[in-house]
Amino acid sequence: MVVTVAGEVDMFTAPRVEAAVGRALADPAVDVIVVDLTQVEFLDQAGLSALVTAHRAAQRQDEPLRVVVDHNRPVVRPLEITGLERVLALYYDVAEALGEPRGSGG
Amino acid sequence: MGPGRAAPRAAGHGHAWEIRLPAVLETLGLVRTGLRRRLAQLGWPEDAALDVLLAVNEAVSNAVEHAFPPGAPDGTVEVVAEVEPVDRQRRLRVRIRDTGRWLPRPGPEEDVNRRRGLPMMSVLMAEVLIHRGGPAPADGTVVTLLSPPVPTL
Repeated sequence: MVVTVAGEVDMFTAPRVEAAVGRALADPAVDVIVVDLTQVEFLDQAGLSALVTAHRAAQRQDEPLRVVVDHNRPVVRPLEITGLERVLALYYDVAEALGEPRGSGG
Repeated sequence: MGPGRAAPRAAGHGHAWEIRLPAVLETLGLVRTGLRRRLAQLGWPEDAALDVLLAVNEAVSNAVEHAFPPGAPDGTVEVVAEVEPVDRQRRLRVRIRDTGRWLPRPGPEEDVNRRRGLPMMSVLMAEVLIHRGGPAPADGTVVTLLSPPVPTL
């Protein structure tokens, strides 16, 4: 399932992102969840927290959460400065994210 | 103060940008919209402008989330941004002040949450100063952010 997020993610709007990913996680028919952030124009600490929460929940269920960021700087920059780029599974595009998982060492 | 002691405000840096809004979550987007426009007017480099927006957003988030105990909905957040010269370049000085009522003794959880955005601000800005008001509940907190210098136009 692909969850597409657009616009600005902050403390006001992050709960909607969390809820959308939560619905995907709760759906037994869904095995891979892709969160597409390429249309996001702003992402703050609250948005990052929502992603990390979803990432951990997905790990517990053995369903990888794949985050598509491409080179979208408003998303890449906060991931980079918080070190979360090394925690989340990041992809350049949705097709890549829906394909075979990359090596975990990559 | 003797002549020449204080550095005069460099011409062309313009007046301070100010916004004062209710301490509610919707305020975050309004502050960003206004500040983004101001940074564009100032010709701030795009990457540096994003860093300022991220840092100011965290400071305002803290103010909105923690400055006001339940039952005190009348609080405000004030953001003042000014350009100042530094080493033949310029930087932005942003002051974020919450004017609401503080809980007299914030619990440990509040302290932890309040610090969450701090590492991010510290990485993004050249300097982060936090002045927590006195013991009176209405003293609030002032966060001052100094951006890294950017080239003068």
